Amino acid sequence: MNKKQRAPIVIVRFVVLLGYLLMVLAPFYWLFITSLKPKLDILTTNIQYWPKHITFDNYIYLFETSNFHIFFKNSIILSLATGLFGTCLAVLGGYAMARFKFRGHKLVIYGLLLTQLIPGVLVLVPTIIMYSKLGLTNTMGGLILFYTVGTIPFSLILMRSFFDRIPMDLEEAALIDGCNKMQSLFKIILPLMLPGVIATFIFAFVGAWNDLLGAVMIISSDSLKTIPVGLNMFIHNYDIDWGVMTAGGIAATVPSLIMFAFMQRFVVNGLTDGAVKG
Amino acid sequence: MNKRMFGLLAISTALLVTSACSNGGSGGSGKKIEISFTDVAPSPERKKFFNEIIAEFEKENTNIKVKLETVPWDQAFAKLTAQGQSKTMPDVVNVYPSWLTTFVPAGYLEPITEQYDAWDKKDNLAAFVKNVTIEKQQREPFNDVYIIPDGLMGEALFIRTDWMKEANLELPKTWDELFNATEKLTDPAKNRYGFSYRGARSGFDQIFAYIFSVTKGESYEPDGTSVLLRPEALTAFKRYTDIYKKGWAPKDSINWGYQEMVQGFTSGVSGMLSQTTEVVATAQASMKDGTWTVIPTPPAADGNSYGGAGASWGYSISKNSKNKEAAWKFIEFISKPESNNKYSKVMTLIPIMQDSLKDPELGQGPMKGFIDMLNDPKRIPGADMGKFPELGEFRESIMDAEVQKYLLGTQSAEDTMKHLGDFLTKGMQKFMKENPDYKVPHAANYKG
Amino acid sequence: MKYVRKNEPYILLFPSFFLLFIFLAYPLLSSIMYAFQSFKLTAPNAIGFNGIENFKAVLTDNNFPLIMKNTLIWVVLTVGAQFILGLILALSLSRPFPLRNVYQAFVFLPWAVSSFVIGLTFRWLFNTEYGPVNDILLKLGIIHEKIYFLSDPKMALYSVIIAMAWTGIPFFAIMLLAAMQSIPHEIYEAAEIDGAGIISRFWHVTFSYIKQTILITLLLRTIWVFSSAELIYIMTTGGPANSSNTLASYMFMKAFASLDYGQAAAIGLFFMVLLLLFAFIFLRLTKFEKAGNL
Repeated sequence: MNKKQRAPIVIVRFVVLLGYLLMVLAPFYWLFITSLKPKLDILTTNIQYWPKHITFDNYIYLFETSNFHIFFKNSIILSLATGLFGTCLAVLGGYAMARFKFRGHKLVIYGLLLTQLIPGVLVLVPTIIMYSKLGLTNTMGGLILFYTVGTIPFSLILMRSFFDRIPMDLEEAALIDGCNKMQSLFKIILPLMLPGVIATFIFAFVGAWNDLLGAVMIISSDSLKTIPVGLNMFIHNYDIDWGVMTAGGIAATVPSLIMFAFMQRFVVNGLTDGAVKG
Repeated sequence: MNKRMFGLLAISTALLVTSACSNGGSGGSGKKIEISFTDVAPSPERKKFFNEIIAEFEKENTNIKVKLETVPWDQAFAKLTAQGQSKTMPDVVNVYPSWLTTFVPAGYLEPITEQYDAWDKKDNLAAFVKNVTIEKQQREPFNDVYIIPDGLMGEALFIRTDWMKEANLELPKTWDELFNATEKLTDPAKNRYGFSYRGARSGFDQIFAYIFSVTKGESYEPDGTSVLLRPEALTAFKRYTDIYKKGWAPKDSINWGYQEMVQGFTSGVSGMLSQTTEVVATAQASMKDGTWTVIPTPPAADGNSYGGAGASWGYSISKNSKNKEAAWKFIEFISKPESNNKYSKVMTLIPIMQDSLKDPELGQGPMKGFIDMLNDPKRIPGADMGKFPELGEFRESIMDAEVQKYLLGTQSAEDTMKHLGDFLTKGMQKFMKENPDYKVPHAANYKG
Repeated sequence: MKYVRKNEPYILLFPSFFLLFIFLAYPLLSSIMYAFQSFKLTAPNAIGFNGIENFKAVLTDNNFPLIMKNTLIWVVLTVGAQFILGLILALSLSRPFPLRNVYQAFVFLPWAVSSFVIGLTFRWLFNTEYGPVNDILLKLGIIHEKIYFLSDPKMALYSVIIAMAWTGIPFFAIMLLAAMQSIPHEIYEAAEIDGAGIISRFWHVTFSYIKQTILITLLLRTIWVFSSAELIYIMTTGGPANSSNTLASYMFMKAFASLDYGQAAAIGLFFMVLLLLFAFIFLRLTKFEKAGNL
């Protein structure tokens, strides 16, 4: 394609990108300046678009008084573990779906699509009752299991489409070279699919990072709570502690921002490989 | 089958299983009894208080260990019901009084009647606690006692004294004066409104509190017909909702719940707010001293006031608890005057013990309005709404939506009151038929 | 060509399906059973089978037509806005520009924030008294009277849709962008040589090439948006007077506020059937299966 674009298109693109950035950032800007305001300046009819009295009290309170660092640590462990398990299961299953002919192949795919139709709210309570009978409530393992199960269907669908994009010839060549099937999977195929693997990982990670309801229902001890639950504790029945909650909200986006910055190249490229096949 | 593959499968499954179980078992160390206690309104301040109390308690009872757990207020009800359903409720829970209508028939809670009756601190309880929150609100409807109140809340009127002065108005002592002040304080040009109107999330409760003043605190006729079907209730309903209809409250307030109406007052949008004690702490933190105060809600025309007052939360023991004795010990400890006094100050609640009410620190400032109100001999707690199962649906999805239709002008006041009244009448009369022993709730002076 | 082995695929799929069966199938079955029972936690002594009473109660509810209409508006507008804005964003991002990586990291952010934080934030932004949106619009002279975003029954649903669209654009954009970047350059060059204009190039090359991605993303998004209730619950609790209640938020409230699991499950079952029908028709109409994607 020609390197130079026509000027009007460049301008339109610039305007679109800028507009979109503003649209995305505006609510974040609002959260951010709120987190820097003292309580008296937060909810006023005389709206301050830049804090008149900048304070870091909300952040200090967040980390010193409210145990937020524990929630932070838990969320990181939880999301990493969910991402890891979800991706492992998806690699195995996706490989099977893409590479083998077997009876029930269609059933498997329709089954996975079908799970997406199940409203989470509906199955939450029976799930919790089941978890408590199995002794899985109030354990980090139980919570990891909960999110891993939730992420399996979409991860499998995604992973299968990545496998589909890798030509069979590659694998066959490896087999001829004397690798067995597993060696070819781990040594040849997976490295090629790294972007796809990372994309799947991020989907699972973000799912566990954001969810509130599952974590509230499964975890009771403060030492095991996650960020969304921690943030929710600043909503009291008569009052929302906006300053601290927004400080927490801003702090919680930092890991995602870092992860996106480092990995979005892989996400986009990864999905590039997979997306064509859906 | 390839060995590598098996290995991978084994590892991934094993990891899932082990990690799932690593925190599983309850740490049964020796003979120490461990009880769990869940707080449903967590905040760092409360947590600090509970941890201190637990430390003191454990020092006195070396064989008992208390594990503090919390659930955010927003999700507390849903979580506790799921736990109750799966018989995994914590040993001690502080429940919201209105949840009793769900938890008691569901069998989630253990009656503590015997323990209460034998309690040595019983006679030190404030008269209101003994006669109303224990007897009238628990033993009468449920035949048993289930919670020991942690503190008392009473509804009173928060008011902007500086605005009142500007408008040359006296603090309202009657409802007429209150409505008049609401109108006078309203000045949309200055973005000022008379009243923090609650249009959503249990907003109907505030209307009902005013309707009490014309029904003398009654909710039902002796045959179970709702008082909402009385003509004077309709008039009262219209009068109260005029606050919204006539623009004395922000138009936005049709969507306001608890948080927004408090914000409305503390941020200087509205001049009056009808709310409970714990808002005092928020108001103190976000408003300038001397611009506001708390006064009693005006009485009804007959001079009595029928507004509600009750426990903020209450400590209870779950039915599935395996250490009910230890659980009661903990409740006893946390309810004793020294603990309760400290708690009341942290939370700006009214303490439950008689002696504590005399504490000079509590009798001052905004809290005084609330305590005076409780001691007022003309205060008569209104009758409750009953305990038939359809009430949950009424509260959560019917009452506010119906009123909103009237506020928006898509339904007449007559129809609104008829829909609400018919629903309550039907539920109450069905319940009365099924439970012939049940007595219709009745408003009565708790002192005699 | 694919491997034909007896056991391997089953063994590989076993862990996933084992977990799904245990932890999803069982709760699903019990909620389906709830749908045919009187199952109110507020009346635990009256739990028992009641046939199709729950379905009757739900379908004859006076508010039901309004809720169905809201659901349709909610799904069509939200998915539509997410798709169109996501597509525009993806198109703008499809060519390199300075700091593109940083830009992308930021615009993906809405995806990584808990929906209750988003809901509360938008509830505040749209607040009439101390929300900045009204304030800014008034100060700029764009409006002369306040807009009652969340309290006007004609506005409430649309205000929540704005928040929901905002959250969902990144996901769409990522999927579409990824697909676009997989379009071989030669195809564009060929089109250029043929003298195709920008619109024709978009239509004949870009669009036709990423059609499959668009379809599967649209399908999944429609399902997810349909069953999403959190933002509605947080921003308006379905009010005022049910004007922003959808099937999903209605179910959410039946389950978590009224604790009527029987009726909640009946709504859930009803809407799973609706979605199933939709998915079936969607896949048929788009000839998705024949294209070898399923």
